[in-house]
Amino acid sequence: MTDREARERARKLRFFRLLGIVFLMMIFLLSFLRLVWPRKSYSAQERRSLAQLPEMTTENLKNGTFSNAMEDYLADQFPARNVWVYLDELRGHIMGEKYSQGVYRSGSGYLIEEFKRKDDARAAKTTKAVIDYLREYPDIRAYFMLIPNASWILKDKLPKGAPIDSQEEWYASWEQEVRNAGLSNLTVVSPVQTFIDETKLDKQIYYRTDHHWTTYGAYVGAKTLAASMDLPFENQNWKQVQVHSRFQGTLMSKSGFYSRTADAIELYLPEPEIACVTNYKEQQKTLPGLYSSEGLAGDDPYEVFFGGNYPWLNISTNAKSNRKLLIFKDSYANAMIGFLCPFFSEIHVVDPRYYTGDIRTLTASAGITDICFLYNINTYYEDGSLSLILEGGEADE
Amino acid sequence: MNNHYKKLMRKSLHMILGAIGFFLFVSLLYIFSVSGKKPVQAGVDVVKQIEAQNLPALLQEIRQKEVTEVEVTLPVPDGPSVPVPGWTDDETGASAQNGETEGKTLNFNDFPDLTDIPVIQVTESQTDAPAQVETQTDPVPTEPVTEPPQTEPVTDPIPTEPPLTVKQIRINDFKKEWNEKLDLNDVRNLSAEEQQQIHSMFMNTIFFGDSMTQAIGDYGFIDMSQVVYKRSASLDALKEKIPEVAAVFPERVVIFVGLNNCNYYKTPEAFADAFTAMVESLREQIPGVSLYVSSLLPPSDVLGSTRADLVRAPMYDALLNHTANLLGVEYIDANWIVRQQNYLKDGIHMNRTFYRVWFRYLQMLMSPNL
Repeated sequence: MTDREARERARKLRFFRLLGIVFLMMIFLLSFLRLVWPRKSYSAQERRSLAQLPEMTTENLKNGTFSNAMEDYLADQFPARNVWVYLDELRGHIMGEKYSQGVYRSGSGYLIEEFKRKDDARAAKTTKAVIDYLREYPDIRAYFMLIPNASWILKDKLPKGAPIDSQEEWYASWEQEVRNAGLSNLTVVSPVQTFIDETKLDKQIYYRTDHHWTTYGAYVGAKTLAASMDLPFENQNWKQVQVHSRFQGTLMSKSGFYSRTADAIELYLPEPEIACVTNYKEQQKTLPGLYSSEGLAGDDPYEVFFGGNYPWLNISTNAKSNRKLLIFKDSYANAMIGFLCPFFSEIHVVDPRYYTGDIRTLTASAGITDICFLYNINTYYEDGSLSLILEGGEADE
Repeated sequence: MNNHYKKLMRKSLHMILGAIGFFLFVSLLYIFSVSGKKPVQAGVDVVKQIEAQNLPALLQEIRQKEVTEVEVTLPVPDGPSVPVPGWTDDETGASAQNGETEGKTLNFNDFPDLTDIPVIQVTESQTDAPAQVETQTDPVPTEPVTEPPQTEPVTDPIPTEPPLTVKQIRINDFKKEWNEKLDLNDVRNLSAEEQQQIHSMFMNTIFFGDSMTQAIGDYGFIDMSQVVYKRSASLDALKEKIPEVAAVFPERVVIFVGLNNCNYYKTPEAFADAFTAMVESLREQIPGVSLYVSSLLPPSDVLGSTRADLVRAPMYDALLNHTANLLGVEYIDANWIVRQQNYLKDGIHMNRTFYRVWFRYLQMLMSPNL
């Protein structure tokens, strides 16, 4: 063996020995950290509870659930888990990963939820249920407003070639269906053109990291609706109050994409002030105003509106009007109801996903003068609960 | 050799430290770019201010507006009024509208639904239901009276007592109609229209009590969210539930309790004291509420024959009536609705038929007089 070869060999040996030692030390270090790291029960980042140490029983061991639970536990309680998840996201960002769990990483820091036309029949069923229901009340004015999502209005920001189905197409067919029903008391309200115009003016209609519309978007939507409802909306002034400066919404948790931008949440309070109280019907409590500081401080600050979604709210105001509104909604309307309060003496807010009562009794007994259906297209398309609560026909004894 | 390994250890340590350093760098990046919610304090303060508003004051403001906008319609005689003996000319419907009737105070803000308006002419009838007047008069026409009223003496023998109020007449009619139906066991379930009327009338009412109240929700007469009850509870135990009632700030509370009170309270006086305490507590926690209490019903004859303690119930009820009147709580007599065949097997609770009549009675009592 020559000198050089001997040196080569020694170096290789040194390297592998070094590798071995580092490897061993890493393992020991990590094992030690895993043992002593404090256990967490809930991840605010991922909005879910984290797995805890599973119980060991003979049953568990035999059918394999114990080992699965153990794996989940070890993964969830990994030391500094959030940092590792972040590191992974960083890697994905650099590598150009743009799609995760139904959400696209789009331009200007936007996260946009996809729209997939899977089952047109369900939405058609809902539309039919609404029309049949409204036919029973020909004297009550009705409004149907579907809000387009960011995947339509902000489609320029989507990654090129993203395989998203067109909400525009589906909406056109839906509108045709509603018009064909020929209900004289029903008005279809469409904020689409207004949203497109506002977006051109660089106004923010949607949150960057949440699937909801901003309060400004709700304001524009309310303006459009108020025009159809004959409400003196222009005469009403609003005071803007910023309540959150770093809104990290549902799309961030859903996709795992971290946004490097900050969204603000604003409230628009009527000026002059109006008196309003919210009666949470099934929770049996009545609270002043429409907002919840607890919701604001929680994991989902969008819950500043009413503290979340409830089956049935009855909002009473001192508005000088005899009109009473019944609104069927998903969470989009939460931001918009505040804009309607100065014009109705009572607003009944029903969320069909949680409502368990009899809607016909409510409609007749509460003296409703206006009915409104307010949904964003994504939820309207996928949710079946509206048709469920509207079915029923004649109330039985 | 030692030296060799020392160098190795040093190098490996460097690598580990390097890895840890990198990791710490990433964690810093994470902390600064991602974590931390930032509600804006000024905004939070505004929201908290809204939440801290005084609820009774707000409700007062909202409801006040409703009351002042409602038009008060009283029966106004269209033709020249025929003076009824015992009443002066001033006591026409017109001045009743201004609240100037002698001896009666019309206080709409307190009891907007219960106006006791003396009937000036018994022939006048602007109610929808045909009024079978039980006093000694001729049957009245059912269409709204637009022609001049009859000029023959309205009452044959002149009554020595003051004529019945509209409210009293309606109560008597109601009782007559439903007593018949109860005796024949012909009590239909509430029609859809009746259900709707009940729902809208009782939107701001809470039903409060023990298992007698629970039945109201169980039988589906009203939404359970408007029923606050505690089974087998005494009045004292029910006091703990008052905050639940207060949380919704109802306009009216209807109290319906039963025979367990005869057990808990050894004397009717003790029961009356407990009732007084509960009323005070309710009034304190829900300022401006209108209170109603339904009779404490007796046990069935079968049960009463074996339970000496329960058969005293009418004594408790009588004292309840008396105490309620003293406290300004409206006492609702439900004893006339009781029929032996409408008791449940336990001889204490009533069946659906009873509640059908009870609810209709309540609705009639609380609907604004026409």
